[in-house]
Amino acid sequence: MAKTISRRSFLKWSAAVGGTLAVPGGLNIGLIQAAEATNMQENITIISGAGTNNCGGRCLLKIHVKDNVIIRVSTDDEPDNPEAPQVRACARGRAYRKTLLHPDRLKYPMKRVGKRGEGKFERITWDEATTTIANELKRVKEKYGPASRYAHYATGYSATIQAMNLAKRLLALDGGYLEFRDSYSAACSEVATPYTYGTVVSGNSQDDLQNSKLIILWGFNSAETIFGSQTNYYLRKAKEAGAKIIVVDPRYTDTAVAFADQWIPLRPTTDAALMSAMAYVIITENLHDQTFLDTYCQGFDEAHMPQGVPDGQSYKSYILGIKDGIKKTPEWAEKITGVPTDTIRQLAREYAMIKPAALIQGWGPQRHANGEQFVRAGTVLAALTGNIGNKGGWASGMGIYGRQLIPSVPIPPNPFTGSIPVYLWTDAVVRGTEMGPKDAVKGVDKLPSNIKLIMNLAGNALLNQHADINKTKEILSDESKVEFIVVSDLFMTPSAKYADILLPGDTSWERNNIANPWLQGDYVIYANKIIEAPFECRNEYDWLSEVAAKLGIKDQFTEGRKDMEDWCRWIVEGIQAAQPEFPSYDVFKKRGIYKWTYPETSVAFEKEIKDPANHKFLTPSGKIEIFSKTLYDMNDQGIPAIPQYQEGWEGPLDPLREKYPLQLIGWHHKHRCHSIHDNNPWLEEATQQEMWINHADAEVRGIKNGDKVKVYNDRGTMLIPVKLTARTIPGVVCVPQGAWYTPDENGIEQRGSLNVITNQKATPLAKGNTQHTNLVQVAKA
Amino acid sequence: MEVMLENIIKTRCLVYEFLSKSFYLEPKVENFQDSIYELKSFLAFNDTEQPGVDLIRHFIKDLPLYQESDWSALFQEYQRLFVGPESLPAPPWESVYRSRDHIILDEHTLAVREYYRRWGLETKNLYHEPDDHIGLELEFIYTLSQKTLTALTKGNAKQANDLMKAQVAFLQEHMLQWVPLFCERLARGTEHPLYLGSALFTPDFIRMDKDLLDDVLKMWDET
Repeated sequence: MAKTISRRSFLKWSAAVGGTLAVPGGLNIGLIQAAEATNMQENITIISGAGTNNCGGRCLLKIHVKDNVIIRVSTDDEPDNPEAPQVRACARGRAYRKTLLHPDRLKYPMKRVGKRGEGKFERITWDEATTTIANELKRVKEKYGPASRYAHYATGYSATIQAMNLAKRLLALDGGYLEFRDSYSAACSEVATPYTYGTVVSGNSQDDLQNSKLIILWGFNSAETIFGSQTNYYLRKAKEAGAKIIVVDPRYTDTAVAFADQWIPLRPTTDAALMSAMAYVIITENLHDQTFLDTYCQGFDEAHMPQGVPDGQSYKSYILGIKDGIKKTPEWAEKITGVPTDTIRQLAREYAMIKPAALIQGWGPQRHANGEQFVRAGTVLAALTGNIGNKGGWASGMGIYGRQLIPSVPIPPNPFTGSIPVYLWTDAVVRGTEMGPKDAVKGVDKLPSNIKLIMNLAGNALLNQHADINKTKEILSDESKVEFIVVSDLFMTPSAKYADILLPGDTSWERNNIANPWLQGDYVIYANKIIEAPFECRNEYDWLSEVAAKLGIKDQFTEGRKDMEDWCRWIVEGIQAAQPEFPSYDVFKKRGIYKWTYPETSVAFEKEIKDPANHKFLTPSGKIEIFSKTLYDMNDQGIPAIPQYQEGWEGPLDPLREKYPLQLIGWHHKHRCHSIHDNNPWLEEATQQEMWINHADAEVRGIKNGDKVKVYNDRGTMLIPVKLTARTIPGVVCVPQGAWYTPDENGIEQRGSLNVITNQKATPLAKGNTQHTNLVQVAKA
Repeated sequence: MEVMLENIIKTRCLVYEFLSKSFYLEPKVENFQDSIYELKSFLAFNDTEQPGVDLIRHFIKDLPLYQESDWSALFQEYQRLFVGPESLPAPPWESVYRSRDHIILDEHTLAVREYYRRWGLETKNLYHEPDDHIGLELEFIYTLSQKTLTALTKGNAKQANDLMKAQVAFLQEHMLQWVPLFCERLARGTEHPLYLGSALFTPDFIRMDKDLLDDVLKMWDET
């Protein structure tokens, strides 16, 4: 007998049974009679859409759609001009179609069966899901108080209507929640910059880069990270205008390749030492702008110190070693940073003498054990050289600027006034009631409860993006600690595995939203809904409204706005109120973007510098505070009043290096937007998940290019293939961040998810993340 | 009308109904209940050692003995293979296999939707579900086949001819372009007799079926 189905055997069968079979009727499985005159779109429509991830760009996408099917995606093709450059998509933007229409999309609401973290789920109805969520919100509030409820940092999409903020809105209306402060992006920059300037708004508009004669990109990798959709355009223009560009980074980044005249590598965590040595050269060679310092600054020298501070606390005294006996010379810095003394001297002289100069600080170097000092030291260098408030200069620090007012869905005042630094959220789960001011708890003396309930909507920082995955896993798996976790996402991410209720979100192409630029850019985008959400995917606003109804607060939550588009109208009204030139809702929606142009560049602190009598800095003294009395009064060795180089821990001088000799940093690379797109194999062709290691470190370990290696410290182990390259310096290995945690049965990470290695220890002042400060050992696998 | 042809069409409908339900519906008792009598007809398909047929016959024989735990295991397997939340071993939509980007809801889905429309059909969850699910494509063939029988019974030879041609075309232009690959992946990803059986059976069957219909049409042309 044949192992295939022969016609003969089939005919024999049909002859045998055909007579007994009933006449077939309608099946009614999934097909029905088509509705009369179904509106079948003959033509292809082009709708303006956008990427709304937490990406440094907010690209404009032209989406070609026919009958609710996306045929093609192209990008901004409005004419390119210097005042309003194109907002074009990078490789990730162009790969959206493949990620957002991936067959592995979460499709139906699910509830956990089995133990938390096992990843076993069962389909439920939306009604059951929202009822469960409402009941848990109520139960936990009644048992532990509202502050036991926490909406976690989640930036899977970042726009004026954002899931995380909608959750906070709901919780605020329902009696309160535990708020978090700052971010995983820029905690130290956000917290430390105001100690110098009184604000985080320390950036110029990007078109001003064309005015700089020297641009130092310090831990700033816009060619890969996309730090603003138009940044690379303006850097190119600056270069064309003759600016010298220097990249300071342990890696020879794509930005260095694209723009740099000079690459200065240094050991991770040592940035403040290099900056201190620069200050030493500038001061001792008399290259500093004494007039600027005298006029605008507090704390540079002993003559300009605030009241009530003993001698020797000024910045100059620190740099010259008057107080601590250590002169911050290039020789001193070379031992710490690995940067040759000549390079340090030249860098310092160029920054002081080439005018105007922009020292642009990225956010990588502030994700270190001593991140605050890097931030403050950068602002002080800008003050030393007078590059503040002038065209072509750059005040350094956080570097935000904004010329428009674009509202978001409001979060009502939180009845619970307490907040934690976001990076300490797992502490708040484990020992929340023990946390107080020394953990940077603000707004209350101490937390009344631990975190007992988490809403993690459209984010992967519940597990994958938070530090020390093995520790976080253990904490989340304990169902007696956090009693309820609801997660919404597009995919079964490592974070999604820890849900009790797992909900399928819709994508930015399946809903209407308004996206402002990520950090800067004079435009706003209408991200149109292009297609219907498939399966039972649903946006958070929709089901949160249902939860709100079950909690009896639907009207307060929705204010009568039935969907996201209604809120978009409200947002447009707000934009129009602040910027009357803004077009009508329909015009804006159709075009998909509005670009503002200005006759002048915007310069941070221009008024404060031009007219100091009438425009003071928003600091306690009204001046640029190189020395901060507020920091001084904290009386904490770890939080100096002036920027200092502090070793921290797991730096190049840590004795732990005997066991774990290599420094490991992460970086944002082309393949992903944080952890988004990690399941998109097309982008894997663009850049592979591999670790960069210098030839010297590899050879000594018998490692060849492409080998799989074991990378480990006390916190965890990962296996990852390597790329031998001179683009990282000896002693430093680099792993692209955002890979999805993929442990084998022994708990060994297979995909190179960086956070199996990182530490939950926070920085001293901001309590920010320290995810680039790691010591590891590497061995052939 | 030939009794033989009538039997062929009815048997084809039996097969397509079984496969469509198997791939598309949650495996609940009710979904197999009303056709238990008809399903038993599969047991008569015994002049073959095709492994898929074998497994399906085993499944059908075991069905009346299924306990709650068996239904539960079957349901969980269905969920793992076709619902999620984990990555599906063999996503059951045509576009995933035929498009360069391996996505759902692309131009291949649209082409299938247009095919359904041409014959007065559309999916229940229009726009909220990809039209090119294997279960729906199998249901489509069933529906055309059923209409063919109706046409023949009414003596409408032209209509029957058109319907047969449409089935051939759809099998050729769509199902045969991806179902073998889908079934190959599915077979590698499951051991349950219902799904492994269906995975092994389907490509073989639709190949045979298309050739059969081709020859029937040729015969009609000649008469």
